[in-house]
Amino acid sequence: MSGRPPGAARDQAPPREPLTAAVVLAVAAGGVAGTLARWLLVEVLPSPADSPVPGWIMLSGVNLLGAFLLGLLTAVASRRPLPRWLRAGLGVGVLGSFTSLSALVLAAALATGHGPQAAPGDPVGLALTAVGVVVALALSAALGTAAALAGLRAGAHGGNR
Amino acid sequence: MSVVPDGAGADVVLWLMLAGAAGAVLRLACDHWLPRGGILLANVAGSLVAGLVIGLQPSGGAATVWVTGFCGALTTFSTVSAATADDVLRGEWGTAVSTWSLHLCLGALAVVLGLLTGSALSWR
Repeated sequence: MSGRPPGAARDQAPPREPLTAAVVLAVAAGGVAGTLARWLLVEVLPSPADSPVPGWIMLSGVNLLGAFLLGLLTAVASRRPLPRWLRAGLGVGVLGSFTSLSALVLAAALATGHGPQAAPGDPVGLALTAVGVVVALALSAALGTAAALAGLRAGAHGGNR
Repeated sequence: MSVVPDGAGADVVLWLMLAGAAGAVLRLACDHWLPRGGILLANVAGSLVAGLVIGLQPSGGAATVWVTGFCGALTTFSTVSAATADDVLRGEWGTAVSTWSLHLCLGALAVVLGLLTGSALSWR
C-alpha cells in the first residue's frame, strides 16, 4: 500500500486500486448468492410452465429491489467507509448478480416473437406487442434510476454527507 | 426436492452457483480494466450469449446454468441504475438517458442476434 502523499488533492476519479484476492473472492461469493436468489425468485417461485408473466413481474421486482439496495449501499459506504472487499462483495457481487439486464432483454425479445420456435403470428399483434415491450423497457429504465435514487436518499438520511 | 423445477437437479444447482461466481468475477474484471465501457461490454456480451444459448435450444439444465447463471450474473441492471441516478443527481439527465438507451438497445440487438445465430446453428 503506497498511499498518496499527505498534501495531494483528491482527484475527481480516484486512482484504480489493484484487484486483491479478497475482493475477487468476495465478488465470487456474492455472485453465487445473488444468482441463487434471482433464480429462486424469478424461475422457481413463479412456476414458469403456466405463463411467462409472473416471471417478468418477479424479474422487474428483483431488478428494482437490487437498484434500490445498491443506491442504499453507495450512500452508506460514502458516510462510513466499509472494507473494500465487503463493499465489492455486496455491490459488484451480490447486487450486481442479483439483477440482470440479459434476462430483461431476452424476455423482451421472446415476447416479440424472436424465439427459436416462434410462430409467424399476425403482424398487427406483433407490432402492438413490440410497442408494449419498448414502453416496458423504457419504464424499467426510469424506475431503475428512481429506485437507485430512493436508495441513495434513504442511505443519506440522518447523516452528514 | 419439490422446490426444484424439472431439469434442475442438485448438479444443475451446483453448476448454476459456479456460473454465477464466474459471471460476477468476469464483470468485475471488465469494470476494472475498462472503467469507461466495461459494464456496457459485460451487458452486451452477456445478452449475446443468452440469446445464442436459447436459440440453440439446449436440453437439461444447460439453459439454467448458462442463461440464468453465467449471463444473468455477467450482466447487471443495478449498476446501470446507480450510475444513472448519479447522473441525475448531478443534473446530467441527457447522460442518464443515453446510458440507458445504449445498454438496452445494444443489449436487445445482441440478444436478437444471438437468438438468430443460435437458431440457424441448431437447424443443421
